Amino acid sequence: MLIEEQLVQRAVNGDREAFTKIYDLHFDKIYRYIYVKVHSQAEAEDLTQDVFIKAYEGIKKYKWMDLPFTAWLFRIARNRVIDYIRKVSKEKKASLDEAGAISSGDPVYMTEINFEIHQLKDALKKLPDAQREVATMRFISELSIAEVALALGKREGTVKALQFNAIASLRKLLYGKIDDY
Amino acid sequence: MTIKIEDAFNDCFERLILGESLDSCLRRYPEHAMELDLMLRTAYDVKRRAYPIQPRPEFKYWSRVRLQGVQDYARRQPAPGKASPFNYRRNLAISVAGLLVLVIASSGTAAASYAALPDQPLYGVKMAVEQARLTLAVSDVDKAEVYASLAEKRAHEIVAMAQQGKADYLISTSARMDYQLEQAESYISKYQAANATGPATTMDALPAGTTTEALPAETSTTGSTGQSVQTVPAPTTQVKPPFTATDNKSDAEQPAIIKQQPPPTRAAANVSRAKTALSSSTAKSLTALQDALDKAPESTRPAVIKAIERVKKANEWSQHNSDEDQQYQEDKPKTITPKPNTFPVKPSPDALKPNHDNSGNFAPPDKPRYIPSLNNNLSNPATDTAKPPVIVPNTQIQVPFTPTIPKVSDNGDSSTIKVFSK
Repeated sequence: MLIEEQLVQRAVNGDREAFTKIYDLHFDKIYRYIYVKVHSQAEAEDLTQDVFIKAYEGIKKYKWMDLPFTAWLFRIARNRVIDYIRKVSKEKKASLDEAGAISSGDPVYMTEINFEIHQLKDALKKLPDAQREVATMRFISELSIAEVALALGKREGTVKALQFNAIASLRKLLYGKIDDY
Repeated sequence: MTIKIEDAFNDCFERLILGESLDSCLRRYPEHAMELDLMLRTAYDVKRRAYPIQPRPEFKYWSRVRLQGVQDYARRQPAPGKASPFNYRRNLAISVAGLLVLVIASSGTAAASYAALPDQPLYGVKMAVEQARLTLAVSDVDKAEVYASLAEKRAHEIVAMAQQGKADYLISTSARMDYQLEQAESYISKYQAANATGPATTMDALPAGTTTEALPAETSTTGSTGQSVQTVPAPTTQVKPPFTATDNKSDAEQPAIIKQQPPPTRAAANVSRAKTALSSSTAKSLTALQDALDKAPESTRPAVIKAIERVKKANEWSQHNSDEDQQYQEDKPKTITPKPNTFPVKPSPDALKPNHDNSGNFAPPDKPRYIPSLNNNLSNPATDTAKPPVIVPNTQIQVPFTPTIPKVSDNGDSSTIKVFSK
């Protein structure tokens, strides 16, 4: 993390190259986080780009001591997605769910993959908000427990409990039943 | 002391990520082993399902380019509230840039960087010198000429990169060329639009300060002083002449306002000069690119072809508009405001299929992460010879694999699961 901290400090001081490295480091995570929350690939792309532009605009005011950078970035992403979903629901936009955004390659294989992604997005949507946030950040964007806790402003113990409950719920939603144990 | 199952789950999940086997993890928490086994397999399956969600490499690339554009643009903007009628910031920037050019140009570095290619360390110096040139170009025409010249340089770099088979640098260089051509065209159009007035002869013939009646078609105009002014053909454009007559009869005939703008003949000459520069540079670029196409390796040919198409388009644009100039603006030229030095036009995805491994300013799409298959015995990615599948929307899958669903009701067999992070 020390390297990231140095990179962030350089970016705060206006180093373009450092910010580009940060971008490379976090881009996929942010994209995946957003993708499972919105309807389409195009929306996910637009929002991902917005997040990094907002991060660039706000980085001069960023201080590591207040919040680690990853948590700060995911807060931006989370707020951006919330704003977007609020706006879309106000406009009552027709659902354009395209979990099958992956469109080329072996059609049988792609169908299978798309179906699984669709199932996952569907299952995540059915989780309570807090569980969904934790599951998305933890298992899809691969943040650490500490990062998730800071991004969501919760205690680590709470995040661990939410994480376990989210997985139990996902198991039920994905496989249709809770196993007897 | 009993450990909570959520803590045990988190601990096991972290250990699996670090490469520990499922069996080993479960042995640490025998009291929760059965439940942990199921939950860890579910967590693992969620990760596996989410893996194919990757940004399209071309989107990631263009998004980075746009972000760099935003950074460039932000750096060039004066701080709000600091505007001065003397625009001292701009003057200072020009002075500094001029000084920079002198200093750099007087050193051997600039000379050495002149021929630097995108994969060479001095390329950054070359870019800085070019940026200084752009800053020093004050008028739109000057800027258009500089951009045309820079686009020609990019074309030569494309030739060099294509011949060396460096497809990754081709993409970034093509994007720069595309942007520079677009800027050259935009500045010419902007200048044309700003100077779009009536036919040159009309305005040349009218002495400054002369008032005329409203100009009917093919009529003689008479000044308020009674002096007869030469007969002129009425402009076919809807643009107001630079000054109009008035006798206070109507709103349309208000007191004359003489606009401070370059004489149209000079404007026409300027436009012609800029277009000639663009036409000439694109012609040279075309020749170089077409020569390079035959020698280019197969991997770089599509990018070279796209570059040729783009240059050809710019060349045709400059030629076409030159013809229009002969008629001197029969129609008012379209107003195309040059964009800030930020967002290049996105070429078609085919042109820039990112089968590359960029470096420098344009880093490559991330290496595909290892996705372990869900078979119970997983190999280590470090030793696994099979390439992980790269699955991104709208791109080809490199190596297909058959995902398998984990056992749902497994009662603690001796399977081993290793989950590897990036």
